[in-house]
Amino acid sequence: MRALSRLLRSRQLAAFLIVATMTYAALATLIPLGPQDSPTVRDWARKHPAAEAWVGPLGLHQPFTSPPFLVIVALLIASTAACSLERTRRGLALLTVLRGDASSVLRTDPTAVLPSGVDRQEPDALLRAFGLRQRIHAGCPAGVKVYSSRLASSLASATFHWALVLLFCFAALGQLMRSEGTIAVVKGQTVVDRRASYLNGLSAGPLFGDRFTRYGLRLDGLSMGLVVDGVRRGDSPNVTVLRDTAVVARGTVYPNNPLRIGSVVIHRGPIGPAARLTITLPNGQVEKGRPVPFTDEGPGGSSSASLKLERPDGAVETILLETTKGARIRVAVPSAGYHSAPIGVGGEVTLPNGLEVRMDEATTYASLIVVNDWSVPLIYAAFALAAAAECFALFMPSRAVVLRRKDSDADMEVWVVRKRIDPAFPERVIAALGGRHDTTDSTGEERI
Amino acid sequence: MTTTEAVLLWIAVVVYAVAAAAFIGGGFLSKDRLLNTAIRLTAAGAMSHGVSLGLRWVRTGHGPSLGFFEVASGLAFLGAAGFLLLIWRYRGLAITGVAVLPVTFLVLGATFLVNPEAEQVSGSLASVWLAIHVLFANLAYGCYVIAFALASAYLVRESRYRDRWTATLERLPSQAVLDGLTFRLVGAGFLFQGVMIASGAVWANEAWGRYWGWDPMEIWSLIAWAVYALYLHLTLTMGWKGRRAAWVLVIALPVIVFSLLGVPVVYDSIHGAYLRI
Repeated sequence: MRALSRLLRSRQLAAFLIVATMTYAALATLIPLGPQDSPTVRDWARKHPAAEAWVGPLGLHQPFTSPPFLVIVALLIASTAACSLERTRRGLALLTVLRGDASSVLRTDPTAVLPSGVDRQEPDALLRAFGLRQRIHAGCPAGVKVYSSRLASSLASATFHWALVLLFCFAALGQLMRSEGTIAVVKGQTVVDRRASYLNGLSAGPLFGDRFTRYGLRLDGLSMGLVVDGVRRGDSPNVTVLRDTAVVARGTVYPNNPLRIGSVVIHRGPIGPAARLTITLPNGQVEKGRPVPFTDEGPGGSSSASLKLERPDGAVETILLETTKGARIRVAVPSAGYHSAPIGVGGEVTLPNGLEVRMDEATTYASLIVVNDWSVPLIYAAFALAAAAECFALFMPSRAVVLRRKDSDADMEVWVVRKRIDPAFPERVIAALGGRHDTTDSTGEERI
Repeated sequence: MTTTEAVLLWIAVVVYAVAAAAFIGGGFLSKDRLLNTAIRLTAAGAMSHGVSLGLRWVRTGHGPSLGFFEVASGLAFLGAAGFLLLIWRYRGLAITGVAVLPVTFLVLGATFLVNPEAEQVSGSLASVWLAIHVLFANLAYGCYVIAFALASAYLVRESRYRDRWTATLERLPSQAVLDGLTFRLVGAGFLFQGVMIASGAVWANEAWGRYWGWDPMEIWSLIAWAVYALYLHLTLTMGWKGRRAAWVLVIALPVIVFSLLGVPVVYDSIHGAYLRI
């Protein structure tokens, strides 16, 4: 366990993992991405059989969800977490020095020793110019003075690394628990957010389960050729989100202006023709005003839809519908030898299998892309924390200068703590104190 | 592009070219007067460039953030302005113009090879996040270019060619100060690039409903960010400094240049549409 902890804290491992991530990502851009059965991937596989022999089995056509990448990322998270622990420990140790307890520093070799007998200004004023103030600590030995900068930065590096760990974890959990899919809603229709409402291609993480919101999404209308702030936003759906009959949210959805309800964000998808049909089954059962969005691509630039109906005998009947402009539709029934008939608004057709289809209205549908991902605001927050902590760590680093003079005639020993961010800092401090910086000195920094 | 904007841009590119030559000549011949002239020329070029960008901004109603022409021009301007700001604070760093000005000239020169007409702001582009994204991209790349210049100066002073440049390089701050300054620039660039990536993610989430899509541009931005993360890791935790650290920055520059300018050309990226040539 200790060996594993040591390995994960290893600086070399962290450097290796950064290089591995870069190399893997760069190589991934050389391979066409997509599902194994996509035309681009199949074409590439045919042309590069030798490479495909290992690219395919390793899942490198979807490289950022493939096992090798997940292993690298898991190790990177573990390594960053182990480093964060180490940095937290060191940050807390530094905090004790910054508060004036220099006992750990005094056990190390001084950065410089300034000879006695030289007229010097009071260090208080000199070090104040470097943003360092004297800290008084009860346990401080006689002749020792501790000057330090602000305390807040002492844990900045640890906070930065913890924020990165959180960011990775939120992103990973978010991917496992998110869902994203498209719901087509015909003008005036309300569709409930549940699995059956989504068109093909609902993408849900393995831990999403069945956590659909059951919100009702109603398409109130479309703002055609919408212009906002002088910018054309295109045809945009006016959407109302309902919880039972209560309105939860309402708005016009266009790019950069999605509708937000908690973790659910609704974006605009394609808009197309739709129809309302009245269907009469052979037993006389009538379904009035059934909304049908033409969401699929049909032949010759047309749009199509398929409708599944359950007959009284339990058999499922499929009706294929096709339209070019929406005003007229063509109805076909595969079970009746693809018999097809065109109808317009108000028109009716009786199919050979006894079904009657009447077109009540030619209308429009809007597809809404529904994303349910609670992790996004947390990812932003983790990033903001990381950025703020990085600012403190790099540009307002915690520093301390410890001075010891055993008696008034003795040489003055100087320790400069945390010089790494600004390698010239010890040189400037010691020059200001009236000495010459010996760059070969150890500052004891590594032990703090 | 209006005639006034074009003339001002031509003046800027010519003046940057002359300034780059003056920096190289001044550095090589150790002529202070030539270096001072180069600085004045850079200021004049940046002024002309800035006015041209400002006029375009007023005319189009948006900052230099749409299309390759605007992005590259904005980057060149920020590079020149950042360099002037740096040498205003650290006069001794004027010699780094030998590396900065040729890059500025080449980036601005590249804009003359592409369509300069303003892109129409479409629905997905009409976002404040786009301006933040591009601004921070330019700030990050500006920091990295200047860090590259400082690292190059550090390496030249360490190298066997230092004799030719001795007098000029003497004016630079000490190697320790140079190393620290380079580190701080990379730190700032790393932070700016982080904000660039994050603002792009927020924008993508608002526009398309996903904050990260593994688009080639996103992947290469991440790779470039990781290169500088590696530099920070090597310097802060593994004690790399001086020559070794400077070499990392020299190697990193092609990665960052490719991630910005190469990816839209080589890959079929969604960003290709926004960095259209």
